[in-house]
Formats: sequence, C-alpha cells, structure tokens
Amino acid sequence: MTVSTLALTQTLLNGVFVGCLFGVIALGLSLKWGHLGVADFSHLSLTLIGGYLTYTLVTELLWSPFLTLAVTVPVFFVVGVALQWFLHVIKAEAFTSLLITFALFIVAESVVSMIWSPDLLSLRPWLTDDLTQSMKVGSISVAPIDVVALVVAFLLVGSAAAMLRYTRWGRGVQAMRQDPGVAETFGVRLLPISLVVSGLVGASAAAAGMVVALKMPLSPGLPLNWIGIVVVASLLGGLGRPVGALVAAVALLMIQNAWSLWFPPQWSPAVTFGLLFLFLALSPVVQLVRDRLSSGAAREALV
Amino acid sequence: MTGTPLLKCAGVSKRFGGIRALDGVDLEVGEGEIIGLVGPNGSGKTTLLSCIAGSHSVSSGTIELAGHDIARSAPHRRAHAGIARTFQVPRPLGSFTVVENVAMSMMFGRDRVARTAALDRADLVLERVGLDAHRDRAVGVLTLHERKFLEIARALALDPRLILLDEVLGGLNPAEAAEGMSLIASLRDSGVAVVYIEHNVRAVASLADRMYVLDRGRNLAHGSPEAVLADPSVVAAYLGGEVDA
Repeated sequence: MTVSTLALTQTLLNGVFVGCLFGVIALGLSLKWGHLGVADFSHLSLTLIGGYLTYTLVTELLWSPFLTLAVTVPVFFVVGVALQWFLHVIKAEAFTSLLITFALFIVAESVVSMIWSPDLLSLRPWLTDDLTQSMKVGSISVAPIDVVALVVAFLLVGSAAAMLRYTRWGRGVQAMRQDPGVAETFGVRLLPISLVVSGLVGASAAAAGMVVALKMPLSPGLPLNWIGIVVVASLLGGLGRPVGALVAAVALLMIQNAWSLWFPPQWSPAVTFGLLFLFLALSPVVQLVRDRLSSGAAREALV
Repeated sequence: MTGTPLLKCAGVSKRFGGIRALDGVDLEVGEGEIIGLVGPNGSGKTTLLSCIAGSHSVSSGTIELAGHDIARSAPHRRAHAGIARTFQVPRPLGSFTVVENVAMSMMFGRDRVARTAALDRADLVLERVGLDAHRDRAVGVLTLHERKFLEIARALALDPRLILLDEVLGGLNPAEAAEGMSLIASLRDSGVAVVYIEHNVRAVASLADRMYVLDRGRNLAHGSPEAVLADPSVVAAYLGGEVDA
C-alpha cells in the first residue's frame, strides 16, 4: 500500500498533537513516580474528573473552558496535597501507595458513571467555531484545539523542567529523589516538598482534563485506554523527567499513528509495549556500558 | 570542660527490634572541642552519630544542643540548629556536580542561601578542602579520597556548630589521611566542634581533646587521649591488649 507524503505528514502531526495531551498526563505520573516514589494511577482518574468538571462548568454555567481552570486548578492542587498527606499519615510504602491509587483509579470510573453518565458526553457542540474549525497551513490541517494541547504541554512541561532545574525548591525535590536521608540531613524539609509536588501534579491534571474535554468525547472508561501509553511514556522518558515524558509520549503517538497507515490500528498497542519491552530488556546493557565508561573516566582522572 | 556543653547526650539508648545497639550512652561536647569516638565494630559509634543527627530516633534518653532538647527533632531541624554529618560510605547526590552537592547544603541549611549565591559560596568551601579543581565534575568520577573530602565540604557548607565525622579517613593512603587530619584540625581553629569516629585510634588520639570509648553499645571509658589509651579496661576489653598504631 502506498501512502502519500501528505497523508504521512498529517498523520505524524496528529501524533504530535495527541502526544502532547498524553505528555501532559504522563508529566504528572512521571513526577510523582520519579520524585515521590508513588506510581499514582489515580492521576489518570483525576484528569478524567478534570474533564468532566470542565464539561459541567461549560455546559451548566456557560463558562469559557479556559476560565474553568480558575476553579479546577486550585481544587485539584488541594486534592493532590490531601492524597499525599494521607499516604504520609498512614506511612504507606511504595507498594501500598500503588495499591491505594490503583483502587482509587478503579473506583473513580464507577463514581464518574454515577455522577455524570456512563454515556459519551461531548463538549464540542458547546464550543465556538474558533476552537473547532480546522485551519489550513498549506495542505496540512490543524485544529485550534490541537494548538491548545500543544501550548498547554509546552507551558506545563517547560515550567516543571525549569522549576526542577533552576529553583531552590526544584533542587530540593531532586535531592529528595536521589537520597531522602541525605537531603533531610542537610536541611531539606521532605514533607512540605512532597506535598507541594503532589499538589502541582494534581493541578496539572486539571489542565490536562480541560484539554481532554476539548479534544475528545468523555466517557468513564477513558483512563483505561490511556494507561498503557502514559505508563510507557513515563518509563521511556525517564521517571521524574518532564521533558522526557513529553518527548516519549509524542514519539510513541507518532509511531502508533504511522503504524496505523500500514498495519491494522488495533495492533498499535503492541508497538507501544514492544518498545517498553525493548527498553526494559536493554536498560541493564546500557547501564553496564555507562558504568564501564564512567569507571574508565575515573581511572583516567587518577593518572 | 566547663559551662553548658554544646552537645549533651544522656542515657541514650537505641533498640532495633530485639537488638540493643546503644544502652544508656552519655557524651558531652564543648564548643570548638574535638571529641574522638572509638570502639570496635558494632560498638554503636555510627548509631550514636545517627541518633545525634536525627537519622535514627532514640528509644530513650536525651540529646541537648546548647541546652535545647533535640532528641525528637526532625533531621532537617537539627541541620538548621547547626549539626552536620558525614557518612561512613560517602553518599553524594549522583545527578549533581561537585559544586552543586556543596551548594545544596547552603540552600537548605541555616541561612537558606539563594541558588546563585550558594554556588558562589560553595566555591570557597571547595577551595578550603582542596576540591576547587573538581568544581564542575560529576561526582561519579571522583576517587574515594575526593568523595570523602566532598562529604566534609558538604558538612562545612551548612556553617555548622558541630560536625559529626564518620570515618572520613578510612581507606585513604597516608598522604591523603595526613591532609584529612590537617583539615579536621583546622575545624577546631574555626570554632567548630567535632565528634570524630575513626578506626585508627592513634589518629584520633593525635587530634582529639577528649575521647570516648564505646563497647557493645555502652560507655567503656572517657577522658584525655592519654588517659583513655592507658586505661586497662580499654586495652583489655576493646583493643585486645595492645593499641594499634
């Protein structure tokens, strides 16, 4: 089967836009998993609830979708803080945290079905043409909503990376991730830092939820569709690395989309998990080579 | 020692399940004093340091810093109060460069220095311990000697009143160890108190104002280095009859 350059370009570009959305979701999972040691699957549910809240505020109160962030971001920040506080109070180990957040992930689907509806809910009829009418850039079609996804992804990932790299708070987070005992011994206050990380991750779910509501019809089972790509993007991008999570999500979606041009799309998850398998299988080899190189450098330094 | 001690441990006990690692240990450190803490493997030296730094909670007993009870304080509060420590096996933060490791102590320590200023001030500390040439290197490529000195630099960067040194000379060659001893002696000159654990008893005795000997989690002896080294109970029970050079 031959595929035109235009079709391939359009498909890859769509992969970039959808990848940006998944990158924003993966950002939250990656930060909590990497820096707090909590593989928080309920983050996906929080994203979905963010989408439903956006839907409700737009359809019931006729708010602008962007204005809804004024409510959802602070509320979800508090939810993130509360969840981390709860895990701290019960002294949850990593595995216990995983079980608790996975339970929340499962329960959330039923709760969302009860509160809203198990049926598809679409925000699209409520949106103005400015957001829904595709623009033509040459022969390429770009939806404004996709641009929103792109901007949100760059803003959130960029600010997270900059905060981690250039602020005192970010250095504290990194120190905590590497060795909490050392970090605390040298003055880092672990609990406030971990609460703020969790709060910011919660707030990011609000922004991701808004983009979800704009981009796709809502249904309670959406997080189950996301979980594979989000987990793989978090792992491939390097846990705790915001830019890595975004790049990995975009790359995965581009590959999946390109795959669907030549092969049955239902096989595309095999591509995602195949890449994860290769990553996990080859990681020890890469680590070995790194260790060899660094020990060689250490020997050179002694000469 | 006269007046209120800078650090006072009284009856400190620490149990790990059924194992009693420390059993009613007493220790006093005066301002600017170097205290040698010696004892055979498993005598509880590192556990006592961890209890003072807050890495371990005490099972019973009191720990006071300048008259204030800190036995239940979190480690970061003790760091802010002026206690710094090194680790027996160096634990640098692997993704940070040498200077960033030192700057971190300043950013989160007593003065909470801003990041840029902390990086500048970290250079002075690196110069003091002789690591300035390694400023921007990854810690993974440092030698053991450099890692041990980085531990000291990180502790100094907290601007501490008391430094807990855990075998900072262990594994170093004689020239490196001499450099380390000179560095430790300079701490006293700058008014910082030191609790210093080392297996090499002669090295400790040459630096310490007073020494404490622990054995199986209990105080065995304390006093001037000369008195401790001559104590028959120390020689018999701890050193097996002869003090190693």
